Amino acid sequence: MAVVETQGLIMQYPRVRALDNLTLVIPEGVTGVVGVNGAGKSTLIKVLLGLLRPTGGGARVLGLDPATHGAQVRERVGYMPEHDCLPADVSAAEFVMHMAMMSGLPKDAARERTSEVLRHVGLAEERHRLMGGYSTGMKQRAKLAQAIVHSPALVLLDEPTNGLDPRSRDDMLSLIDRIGHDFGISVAVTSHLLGELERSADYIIVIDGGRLLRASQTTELTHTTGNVVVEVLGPLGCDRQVGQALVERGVTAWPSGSRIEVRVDRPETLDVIRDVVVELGLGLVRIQEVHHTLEEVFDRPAEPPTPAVAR
Amino acid sequence: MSQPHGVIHDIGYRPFTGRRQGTGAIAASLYLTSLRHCFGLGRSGKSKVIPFLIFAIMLIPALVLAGMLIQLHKMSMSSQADLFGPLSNYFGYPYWTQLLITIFAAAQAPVLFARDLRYRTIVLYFARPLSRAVYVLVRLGALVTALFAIIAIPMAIWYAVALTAYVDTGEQSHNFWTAMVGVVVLVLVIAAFSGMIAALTTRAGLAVAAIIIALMVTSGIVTALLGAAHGSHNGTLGLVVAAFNPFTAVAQLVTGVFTTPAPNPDLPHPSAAWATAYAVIALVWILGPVWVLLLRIRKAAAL
Repeated sequence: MAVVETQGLIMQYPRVRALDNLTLVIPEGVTGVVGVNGAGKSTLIKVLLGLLRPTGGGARVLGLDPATHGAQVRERVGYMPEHDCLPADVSAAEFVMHMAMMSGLPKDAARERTSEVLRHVGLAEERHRLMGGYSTGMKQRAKLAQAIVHSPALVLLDEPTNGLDPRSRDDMLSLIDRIGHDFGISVAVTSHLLGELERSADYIIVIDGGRLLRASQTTELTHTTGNVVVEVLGPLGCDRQVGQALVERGVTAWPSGSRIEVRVDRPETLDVIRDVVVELGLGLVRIQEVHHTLEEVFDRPAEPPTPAVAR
Repeated sequence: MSQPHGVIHDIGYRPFTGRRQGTGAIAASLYLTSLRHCFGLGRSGKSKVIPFLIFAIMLIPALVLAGMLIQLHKMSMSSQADLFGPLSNYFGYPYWTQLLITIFAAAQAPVLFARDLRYRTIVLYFARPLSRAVYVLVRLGALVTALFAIIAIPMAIWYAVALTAYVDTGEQSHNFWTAMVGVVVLVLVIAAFSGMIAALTTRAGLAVAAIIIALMVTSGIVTALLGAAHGSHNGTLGLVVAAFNPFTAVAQLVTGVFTTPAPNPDLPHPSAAWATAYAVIALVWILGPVWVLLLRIRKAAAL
């Protein structure tokens, strides 16, 4: 079932057309929305929240038209903006609870859910401290908490990993994964880093110039290439030796850094790799499937990489 | 194997399945929070100082007047005649305490209107059920209520004492209730105006200064011009000048419409036509800032 559907959405500003006949579907689960700055992501979010009336076309969010049922849509949708939006002089516990009540939760439920959600995002101990003293990672968690505290059916996350160090970024991505797959809240997450979305998103939508460029399952985009990468342990140049031996046996193989990439046409090819490594008396470190990365997919959407045979 | 006692189980995430409140209840919740914040409740300890200090100082003149009312019948007839006017001039109370009222409005309007803009929390409000217009009107309503409370409570004490004292309660009642109408109009003007300045300046410190300067400087200029007009017997000048400050404009409205004594002897008594004009002026003083405020907040909704 789709949580968001747009049909020929047009948003014409006096001088710019932010959305240009945009038709897309955001299914349940985690959906990555990719687009450069100015691609129309924020305008789309505003339209979906019912804050902006599109000049053409229509949208449905959770089965409702945000242009006419804005309040009902906003009651069931959470939003985490990209920029800073937390008052510095209140604690996360107070603020998130207030925001829960602003979404229509009764006081007791708001209090209960606030502590629960803050625990889920990992702000248990710091929740009574003023948010002005929070690190970027903690601020992002508090922002996320206010977006899901009212138990929405859909949450819109705008660049949630922006400004985070690698570790906090990892934590945030696992959180998004949990929200989308364990909490049962559909997630639409924007990012300009494709690699991130590859990990957490089930579905990818690419927007450019207010138009839909591409929409497909992440697994479809990152499906296996049919190649494996082989890493061996041995004296210098042993990888070339293995490559040569494989080519001599009629297997397509080529060097990839200090490893060997091998095309697996038949399952037996894997046995051949094992036998060759054993015969040469080398250590087999790993044989791993090679997936396309999203970056690759978007850089060269049509043509698969052409393998060159090692000589 | 038995389960150990005292283990906290992670029961995982549970969605909220209860009934959600409608926009009316959400607006009421925002109103109550905003009203509490006006008095520093639910905020830091030091933010309670100014509102409660001002309220305490506001009580002093009302209590003094009330005390004098009790003692009035013991005084000589001439003193009684001299004092009866001031002791029943209820609209004189907000007029002469205007500095305190201004400071209260200047200190609290930024809490309601500048903070959300400055920290861009406003965006989170707009991603929630309440509409932008309702948000502004609810915030404004809270500031109006807070201002009304700090003015009307001392006045009500003064009036309650007057009712028990040996004075003409008819005139007291007339002046009190007409003054109450004036106070409602006045707090609407002050709240809308200070809210607008706070939303335009965004920074709390700047907003406080701007509101005090805007209200007090116009008050000073208007008062000086009123004195000059009164001295030169130029009634029209006085009537025109009074429109440029909320306190004098509303005072003129009250005296004109209800024929009550003016809080400032320099204020020329407005005719019926001028009273109507002052009603329009008061409306402009309210609706103009509210309109600007709505526009400003609407513009800030850019995500």
